[in-house]
Amino acid sequence: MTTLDRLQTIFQDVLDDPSIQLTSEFSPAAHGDWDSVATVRLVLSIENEFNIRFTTDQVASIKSVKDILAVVEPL
Amino acid sequence: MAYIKAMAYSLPETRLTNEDLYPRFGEKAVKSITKMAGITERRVTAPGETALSLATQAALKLFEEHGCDPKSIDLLIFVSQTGDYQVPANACILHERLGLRENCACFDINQGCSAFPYGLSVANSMLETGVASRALLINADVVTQLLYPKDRALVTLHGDAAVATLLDCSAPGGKLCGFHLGTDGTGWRHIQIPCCGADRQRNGVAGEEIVTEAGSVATNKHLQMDGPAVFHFSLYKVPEAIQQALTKWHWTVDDCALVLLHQANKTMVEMIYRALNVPAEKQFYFMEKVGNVAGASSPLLLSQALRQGKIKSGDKLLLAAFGNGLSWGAVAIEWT
Repeated sequence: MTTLDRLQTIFQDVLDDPSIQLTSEFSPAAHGDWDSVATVRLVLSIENEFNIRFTTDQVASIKSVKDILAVVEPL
Repeated sequence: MAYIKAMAYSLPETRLTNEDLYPRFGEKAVKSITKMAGITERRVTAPGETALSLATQAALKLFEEHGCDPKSIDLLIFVSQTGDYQVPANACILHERLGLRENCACFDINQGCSAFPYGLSVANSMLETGVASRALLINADVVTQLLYPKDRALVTLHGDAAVATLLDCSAPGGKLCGFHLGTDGTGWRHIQIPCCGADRQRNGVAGEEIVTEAGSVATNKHLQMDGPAVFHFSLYKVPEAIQQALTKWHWTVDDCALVLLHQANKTMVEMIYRALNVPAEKQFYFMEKVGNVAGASSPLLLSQALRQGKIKSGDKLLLAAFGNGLSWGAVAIEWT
């Protein structure tokens, strides 16, 4: 399972939308339910799944999946 | 150590309900945010109402309800980020309105949601060292006046309030037993008004609308908050700071009758309680009908707990507040 696959499962769960096909360009503009509350829930789920902790600045910099991959993929 | 002797608060009359916000932001967006926040209505200032007008009402209410002679006060601290004046100190204006005596120190403290522990700490120090004998601490914020009306993330959260707290060094009352204050200045950008002072002035392009990725709208002349970043910071830093405070004071959560937290939003407070293993009977909330009232939030919570008879003699209380700066503070209180 790739990192993107694991993230896709999280996004589908948090945004309650099994049809989501995640790409690195996926952003809040692409999905009406990705609001600030969803970002918090996504970060907490990703931290749990990947056993990592985002910094406050990393959370602030999330504008698309690409920014999440930048935190997760170096692992 | 100083003691909290009495408290009183003032809320604006105007109520802004979730339903009132549907036409502005859409029912779905309002419901999503307010479900997370646990807020159904806010008390917001009307034109002409200010931090000082609410502060005056709260102080006069305290004098009347507790039989306090204003002339007995020799220290007035006004803690706010939304004062009526940049010059002079708002405490001096309040001094006139309350008819306080000349031998009374008056000054402002600029602090956000962590304002109450900071204000208590300064008042405690000045009372303990004999600089003053009776202090009036005012926490007043009218954050709604800093918000861009189209900013759904902040408009849905915030309300306005002022709380007056009377302190001196005599028992009985809420004995201030310890403080734990902290700051992470690297995070100051996450809650700010970008154009509001000497660095970037409040004119010109600063008023243009900025649409965030999540669809919220702000301007550089209004309060901006990176909600997810601040939420994330609070979930990790606040429990950590509270644990440090408890260790310093040789207290545990089990020792506390109540753990009182800044009423940022209900989900955040619930998650901090969970991280600290605070049982339900030690939790207390007061935001559903008033909103997040910034620096006035944690004193409003304490005042409300007192009004509801939740605090009795011998109880130990932990109160913690956190917010812009990024800043946090905790205070240990033992009710005698």
